[in-house]
Amino acid sequence: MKFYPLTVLDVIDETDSARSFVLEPQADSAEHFHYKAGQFLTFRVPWNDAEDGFLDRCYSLSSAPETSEHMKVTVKREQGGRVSNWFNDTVKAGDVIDVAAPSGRFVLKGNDKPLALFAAGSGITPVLSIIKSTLAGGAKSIRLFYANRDKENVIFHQELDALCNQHSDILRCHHHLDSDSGFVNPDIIKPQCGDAEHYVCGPGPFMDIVEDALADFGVKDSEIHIERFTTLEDASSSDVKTKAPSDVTGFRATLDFDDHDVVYEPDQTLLESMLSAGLDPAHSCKNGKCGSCMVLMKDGEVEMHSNKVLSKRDLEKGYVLLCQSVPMSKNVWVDCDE
Amino acid sequence: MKRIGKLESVWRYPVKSMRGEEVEEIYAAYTGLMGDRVYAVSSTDAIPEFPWHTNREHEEFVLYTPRFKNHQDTLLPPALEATYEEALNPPYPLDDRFAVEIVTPEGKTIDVDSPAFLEGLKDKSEGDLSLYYTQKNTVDCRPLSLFSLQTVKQLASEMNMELDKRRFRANFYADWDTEGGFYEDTLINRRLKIGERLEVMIIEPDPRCKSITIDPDTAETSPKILKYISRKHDNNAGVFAAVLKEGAVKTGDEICLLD
Repeated sequence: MKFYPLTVLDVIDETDSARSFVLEPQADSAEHFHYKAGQFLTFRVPWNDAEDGFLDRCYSLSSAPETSEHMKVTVKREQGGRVSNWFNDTVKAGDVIDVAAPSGRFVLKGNDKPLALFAAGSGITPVLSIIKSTLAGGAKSIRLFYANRDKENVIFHQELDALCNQHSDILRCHHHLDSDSGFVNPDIIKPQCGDAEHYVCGPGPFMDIVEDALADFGVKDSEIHIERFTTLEDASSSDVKTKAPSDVTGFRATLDFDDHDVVYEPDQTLLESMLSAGLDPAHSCKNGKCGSCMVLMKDGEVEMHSNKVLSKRDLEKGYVLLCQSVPMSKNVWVDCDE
Repeated sequence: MKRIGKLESVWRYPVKSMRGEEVEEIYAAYTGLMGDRVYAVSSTDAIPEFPWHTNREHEEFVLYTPRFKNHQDTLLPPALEATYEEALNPPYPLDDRFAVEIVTPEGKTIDVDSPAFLEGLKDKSEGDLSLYYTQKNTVDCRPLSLFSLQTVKQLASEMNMELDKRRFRANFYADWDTEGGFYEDTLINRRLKIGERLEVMIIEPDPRCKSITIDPDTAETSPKILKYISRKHDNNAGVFAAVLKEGAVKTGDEICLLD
């Protein structure tokens, strides 16, 4: 991944625990920073204690290319979060930060369907970008469900109010505050569903509830677009996102027609566990890109950090990548010979 | 110069990741074969450093057959002999001569730059697709790839299965004068002359990915091929080459060691 120096033009206080940073690329790298609403930037921050001497973190753009001359990301402090606190405590106008080109597939689909948007906490950042982009493009109906712990933590409160007033015919925003109504539950979500493209972004528990509610409501998978807003603060790599349940201590792997019971250590991938056990399944890039370590699931559930090589057909057949998989159940069994 | 084999066949891939086209004679430039991977489909779902929609995520992509509408114009640059004499880089024809049409797996013929082409791929990708064009070849790593018939034969024997050489999507298939596979690996850092003019240097092994698991005629996948190569041959099969001196090559050309 290539990083380019971006200048911080402005720092904006959004809440007590979140700030926005307005960024400008240098003239010779501006061409790399064309983006779509909903995408994110990856920041590389020098960090002495880090294994590689730096920490990479992704933050969504809250600006939209159609309405803002400059890019803007919004960073909320995370408890113990090294980079999010560094951003909020240290970064000031005039600083230069290394940033990779925009990326991400949480972007608008090109159709005329209304939008049903679900955001919680700092998950509002790409959602706000999508709202601005949509409003700039025409008269598409937008419903936003926005959940926060309490009123003080609502990022972009004023900006959203202003947009709702300005576009009251097509934009409706429902604020949900846990302090007033309790934690979000499916019954609260379902009335927000409908014949629309559904976009969801927020912390894991919120995402799970919304996803389940959308499934119960019968929303098609193709109309659900999800950005898992995972905190990477304590991960050693920006790709490590999923953790296995604590009661998963092993899995079974078939290799060269022998079954092996492999010990699973926390934070490992299945491939790392197999290599630690002295097994040598096929593998190469270890980045989820080449496909050499694709194996067939015979039982159990895994989650992959990343997949840039398996097709929908592979996934339907039950193939997963060893180098990206984390066991999510106690009965995982992979067949490396298939 | 020592002869080590001959060029069994020459292939280019007008649209990256789609079916290849065997050609009798072709110009090899510093950037690769004329007309090789001049079109590609990019996807917002892909990573920035490899933004392509490929047969890895959409296996049936290998069943799409691209062909140049002005085939003859895309094989050799005009005035080639004169540029040889003057040691000049030969200019290629204008972009319109590189127009491509595609025969879809359903037998429909469609222009690569028509909106209907990308529309037809819409449900094959999670991302938004767009067409990319360049005369300079959208190769992954190096301008040329080379594979030998002997390596195909050895792998087929080792895996006890029939192997179609087209799985390996090389530009040049060599027929070495020596028996046994993977001879091309011994040529790394060696200079070769192919035909009357082309000079290349073999640079490095070709690390393989899921593409080689895909049957070029059915799009069915056989993961065991990649797994075998990964475990037994360090994930490498075939080699990459860089062009040192441009020139035309044709099927049957001698391949000689220059040093």
